[in-house]
Amino acid sequence: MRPVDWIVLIGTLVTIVSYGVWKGRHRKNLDGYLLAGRQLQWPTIALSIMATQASAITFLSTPGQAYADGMRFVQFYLGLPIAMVLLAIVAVPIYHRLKVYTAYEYLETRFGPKTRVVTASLFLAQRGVSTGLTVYAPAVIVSLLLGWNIHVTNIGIGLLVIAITVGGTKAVSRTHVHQLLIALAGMAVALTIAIHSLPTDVSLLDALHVAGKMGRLNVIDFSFDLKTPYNFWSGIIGGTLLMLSYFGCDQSQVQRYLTGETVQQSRLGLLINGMIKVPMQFFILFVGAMVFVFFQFTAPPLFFNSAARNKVVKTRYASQYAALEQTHAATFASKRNGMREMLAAMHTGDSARADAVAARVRALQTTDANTHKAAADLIAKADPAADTNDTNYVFLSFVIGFFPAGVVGLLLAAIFCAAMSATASGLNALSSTSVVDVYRRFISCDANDRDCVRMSKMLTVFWGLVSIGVGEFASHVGSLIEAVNRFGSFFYGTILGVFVLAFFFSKVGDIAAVSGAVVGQIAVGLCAIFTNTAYLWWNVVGCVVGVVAAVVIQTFLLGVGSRVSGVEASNLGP
Amino acid sequence: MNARGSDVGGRGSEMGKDRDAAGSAPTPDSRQTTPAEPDWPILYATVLAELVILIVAFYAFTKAFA
Repeated sequence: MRPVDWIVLIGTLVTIVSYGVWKGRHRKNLDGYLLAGRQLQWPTIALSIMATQASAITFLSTPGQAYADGMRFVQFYLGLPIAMVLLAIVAVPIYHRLKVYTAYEYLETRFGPKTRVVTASLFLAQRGVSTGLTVYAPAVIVSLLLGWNIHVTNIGIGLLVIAITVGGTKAVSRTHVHQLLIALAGMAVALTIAIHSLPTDVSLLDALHVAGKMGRLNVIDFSFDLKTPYNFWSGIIGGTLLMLSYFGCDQSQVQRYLTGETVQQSRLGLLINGMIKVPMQFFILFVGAMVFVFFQFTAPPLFFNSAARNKVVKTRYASQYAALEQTHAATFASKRNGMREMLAAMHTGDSARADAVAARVRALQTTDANTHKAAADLIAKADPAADTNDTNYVFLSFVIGFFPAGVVGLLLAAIFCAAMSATASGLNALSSTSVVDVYRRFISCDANDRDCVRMSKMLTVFWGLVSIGVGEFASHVGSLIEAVNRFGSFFYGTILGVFVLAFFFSKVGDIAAVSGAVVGQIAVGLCAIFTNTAYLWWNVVGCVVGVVAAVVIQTFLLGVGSRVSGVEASNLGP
Repeated sequence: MNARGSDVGGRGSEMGKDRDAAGSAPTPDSRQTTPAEPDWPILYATVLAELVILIVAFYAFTKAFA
């Protein structure tokens, strides 16, 4: 890091945090503190929703995902626009009409306290851990590559987020706008530099051909396979249910559009998100594909986690690792020559020869992947605690190694902004749910607004410290973006099932809903442990099994007339 | 219903204490910021149509450079 990078990084962070603290002044009642006085307009809502979902993991891990596995990860988001439309039609009018603070508050009006407690608890457990990962993810990568102390980085990010979030939802939403814009600007700069850093005789079209021939532009795959993590069907079916659950039942997102001044503003915020998110993810993955092309002409390190590499070369495995590095260098040279030969064949219109050379280069790519695997095994032998998945380190290694002074600082600022935006929403939602669904509901029912706001601030700090604590213990989580999504998918189907029952099954009551949720969660657990089903399908399993179980329990065990609490859904429908 | 249920109705008066709501800015109830209701079915169809176009474009992109 050069001085100008430090100036850009610190200047950006100080400006953002100061702005957030300033925006968070004078929130004295719960409506103002938790829901920004329900005054926000759709542009702020839309950007806040997007910033909440786009964590630092999105900007660090997604390009690495494209580098290692191609762009097929974009299919994960195909269900998002469908989910936005369904939520705009069904959920937004109900939440607005009831003027709830949290999604789980609605479940009590529909079912009763048991369902509210179960879903709020699932949320607190799931989001508490996930928020810790969103703090830890950038901290570990930045600290390893820049040589910073991991604990100081983790705690530093956590404290910056707490400073913004204590200011309440308005501060969080307003800073989201700036954070997202900085993060996207950073990625645009990264794409520009990646393309301009290609050899002068390699055009953008050539780069696309190289990426495509090496399987990195595999955006859509219509083959149906339950074991493939990302294909069209898992994205459309599993992805829709995951997004319905995430945006409709996860307080970190629900809180964003509950701030809308009207139903119209909240709906528009969701729909704009539905229109922008898929192209945005395509763009971020495309950056990763271009980084891949860059490293076809510029020698990449054998292992992108340089800290792990530096450790292994100081052990008795050093000579073996050096041999692997030599193999990697030789393979890279052959591959680069093959790339040039392939492009020359393409330029002369000899597609048969181009395809033949491409097949040869792909074989070299497989050889290199095996060398990389052997290096990872060696690193694991030398240090069992080392992170042997270097996907998350690809993008930042590229930034640090090849970007000019000042731009590195901008990219780091972008990553920190993304980390703060997602974490702030998480803390904001954890605090809201703790206060509204636990403290004010069960512990201090007569607490006034001032007490609740004070408690919200204390719980924001508490959950912030919990997140820092989770980050301190997190490690070995593989591709971080996949880890977060897998963890979310484990719970989201079940929670969505409860909301589906609330919206569409008016005869199902509190006990049946809770029982269905338990059965659905067990089914997801069994599916995760005993089958190889891709994690996006867990959402389908949790939701469908939960709903069917609740309906069966209500119909055959409890009887349709035995609902013990709640009001008829028909009175709450859109 | 529950302890919180009674709060829903009373929240309107509490909102008046919010500086943003009661200060120089008008309250949400008194503001007229949405002159025309959008045609929601057309908006929903637009979002879904964009998704279809993106899927077709992505598929063409995949095939073009495979």
